[in-house]
Amino acid sequence: MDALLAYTPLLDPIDAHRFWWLLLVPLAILISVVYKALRLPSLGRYPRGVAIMTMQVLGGMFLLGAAAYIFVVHLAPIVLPVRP
Amino acid sequence: MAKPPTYEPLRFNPVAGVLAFLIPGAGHVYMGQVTRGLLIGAGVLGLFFGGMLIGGLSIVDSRSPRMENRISFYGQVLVGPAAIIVDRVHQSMFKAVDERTRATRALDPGEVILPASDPRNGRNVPIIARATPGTDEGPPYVKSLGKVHEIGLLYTLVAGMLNLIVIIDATFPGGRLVPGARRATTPVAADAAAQAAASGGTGGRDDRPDDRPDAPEPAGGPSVDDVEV
Repeated sequence: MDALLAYTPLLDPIDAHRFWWLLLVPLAILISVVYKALRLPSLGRYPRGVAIMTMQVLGGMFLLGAAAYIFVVHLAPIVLPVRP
Repeated sequence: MAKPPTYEPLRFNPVAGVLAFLIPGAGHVYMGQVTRGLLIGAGVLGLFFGGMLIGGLSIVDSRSPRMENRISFYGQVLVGPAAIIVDRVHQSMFKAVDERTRATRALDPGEVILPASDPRNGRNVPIIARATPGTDEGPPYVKSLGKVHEIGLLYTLVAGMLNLIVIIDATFPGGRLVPGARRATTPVAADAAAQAAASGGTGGRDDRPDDRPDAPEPAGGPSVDDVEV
């Protein structure tokens, strides 16, 4: 609560150390907003394009994270066992 | 026989490029693409100030002792004057001179800025002093650390990188598929699409429904902002 009271927007950092990964969602949305505004020849289906690209970015990040987890936790110890 | 994909011709518009650097999205607004420009501006500035909301002022610091901050500033500055102004304000109003090292730096916990007008300050520049014990005095902002700092940096850096693409797109407008034309990335794909269309198939169609010639228009037809010129 104290951290919340001390927070001054644009000056202090938010206390998001436990849920920092949630901040990747607005990042993906805003990247899609800019990229689709640049790329689409017509903005008629812009919201749908933004939604699809956001899902693709988030899905890609999730898959990369899962692959890194599998490699670090399961495969790397097999390839390079840690000696006691 | 199906028509080959039609792209707008590339042009050169340096005024739009400069405007895009000064205010993200202003280059596209200048070219008459108001909705597109507003979306770009909201996205780029949303990323930049969103990064500052997350990581605070210490995210934008061209003279930080942390090397990643100094290097990141080169990317952040692509957002335009907004990044430069934020950095100038940071350097001039939120940092002070350390009398021991004679260098300007950000404040640590338990320190305050002693203004030049303060009688305890013997110099004509703001200096760093110890906070009075027992009071809630402290530095004007808290430095961000760890993941929050990284995410804040990432937001502002991505804003700069995206605005670089925006500046290039505004400087060299055109090159987009003409609305209603079939999209093909290569001449080979264009030929395949034309053959498929001639035979009644759908080959060559990509996953972008926006480019499909048979895609229904929104109710009421396309607006002025829907179709770029």
